[in-house]
Amino acid sequence: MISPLMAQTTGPENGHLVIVGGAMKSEAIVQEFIDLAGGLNAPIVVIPTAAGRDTYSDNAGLAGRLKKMGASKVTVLHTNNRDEANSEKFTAPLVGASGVWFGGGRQWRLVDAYANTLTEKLVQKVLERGGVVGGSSAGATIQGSYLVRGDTKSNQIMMGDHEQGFGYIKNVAIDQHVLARNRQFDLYEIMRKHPELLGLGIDENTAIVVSGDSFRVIGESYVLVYDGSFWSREGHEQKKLPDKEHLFYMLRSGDQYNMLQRKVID
Amino acid sequence: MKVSLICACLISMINLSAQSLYGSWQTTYPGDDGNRVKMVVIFSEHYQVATLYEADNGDFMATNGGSWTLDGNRMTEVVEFDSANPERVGDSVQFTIELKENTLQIIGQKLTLQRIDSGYPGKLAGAWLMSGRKRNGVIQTRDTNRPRKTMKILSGKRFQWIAYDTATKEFKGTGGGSYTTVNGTYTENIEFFSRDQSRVGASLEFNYELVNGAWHHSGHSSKGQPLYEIWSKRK
Repeated sequence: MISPLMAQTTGPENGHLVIVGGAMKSEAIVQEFIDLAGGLNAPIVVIPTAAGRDTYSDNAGLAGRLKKMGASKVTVLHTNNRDEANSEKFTAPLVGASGVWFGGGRQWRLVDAYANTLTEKLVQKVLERGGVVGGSSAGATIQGSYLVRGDTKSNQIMMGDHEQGFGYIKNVAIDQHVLARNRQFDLYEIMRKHPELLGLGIDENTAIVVSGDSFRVIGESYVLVYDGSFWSREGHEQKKLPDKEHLFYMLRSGDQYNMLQRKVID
Repeated sequence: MKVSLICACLISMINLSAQSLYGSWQTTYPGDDGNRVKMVVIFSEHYQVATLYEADNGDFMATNGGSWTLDGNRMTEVVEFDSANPERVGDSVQFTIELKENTLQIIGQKLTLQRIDSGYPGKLAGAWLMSGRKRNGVIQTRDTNRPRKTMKILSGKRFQWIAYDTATKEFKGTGGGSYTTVNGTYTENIEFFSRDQSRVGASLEFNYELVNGAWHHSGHSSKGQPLYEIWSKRK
């Protein structure tokens, strides 16, 4: 087990992440993703595999929205076949892509289809080139190192039969739909077992935009931070707080957080 | 006497409640990626189907359904097909509903469905199983009790067909949308189709006739092939 003292939560060295807590109605969040990808002519790949369907149209999931907003080079990429996920033919759209989007559904499906394949490697390359990886709901959780709700039987099992995400952020557990579904206490289980992790619970229509080791919050609701401490914009010295294990606090649009230092950026 | 009168009233209220579910219901909500997800539920007398698809492009997402009964406001469904969770086939599922004249809510879920119709004006409302085909002028019957089924469920305005196998729990395909019956012409307007999304938006016209309670459905398939199907109403 990693010592809690040694675990550092770090973002990607290059590129950016847009991590959305589901029900992404906000056009501003989509626009942020398009801008970070390089604008409307940037090559963008949408991977809807988490939704669990056999086939997807060219407008599936976010792809249709991106096109409506003017994005001109959007490709939908999907397979459940790991041989195909390892093939150069299938992965060709990723080679020059500057944006990749993981749609919602069940996060373990992304692991089963793409973990340790050429597809996963080429998505990593998008970040290394300074591009953006984004995703909503399952597409949010997959970006963390610990795969929250990764069980094939039920999404109510927090620590299931798939525990490893794609890890664009190291030493983090990312949950979604948190306030909309009253999931605010669900991350405690993971935090107890893995105190070295930073817990992030992102509510619907809300996102964190990660650059380096920090993120800023955008969207309409809140991001819950489980880092064993407490923060309030009115100060927390006089607050009667629960024990450390049950602490969390909320950040809203405009707030920034340093994951490496585990501190709100004032 | 008084007790039996109250019982009779209660029974008629329960029946009224079940009857007022007949027809189709819909809601639209944002999906994970902000895409508009449309949910349509069709209730016939004994069978129902619930389907999710992307409202803007007709991408099929999931469907499930089977038989249903209502006891007060407690609904029991026995799953006959479930495209997303086929292991649920055969399970009995119970939940509580709140039914108002034009809204239907499942208690504990934040979705509220709006009524599309109450079983009118289309003349084919009900659940039907394909029971035969006419080929070269000869009617070939099909046993509707076998596990491999093709069912059509229609309300007054909505239709959906589903192909599935209750023995293997396999979901094989579905399509649906709105329909009309005018002067012997049955017209399907396809809003989702699991096997071929390019068919979404198509409008297909057929002849229909009710013969001794069976639906005789004839015309040409979307590929131009002549077809003559016979559908029997599920009891």
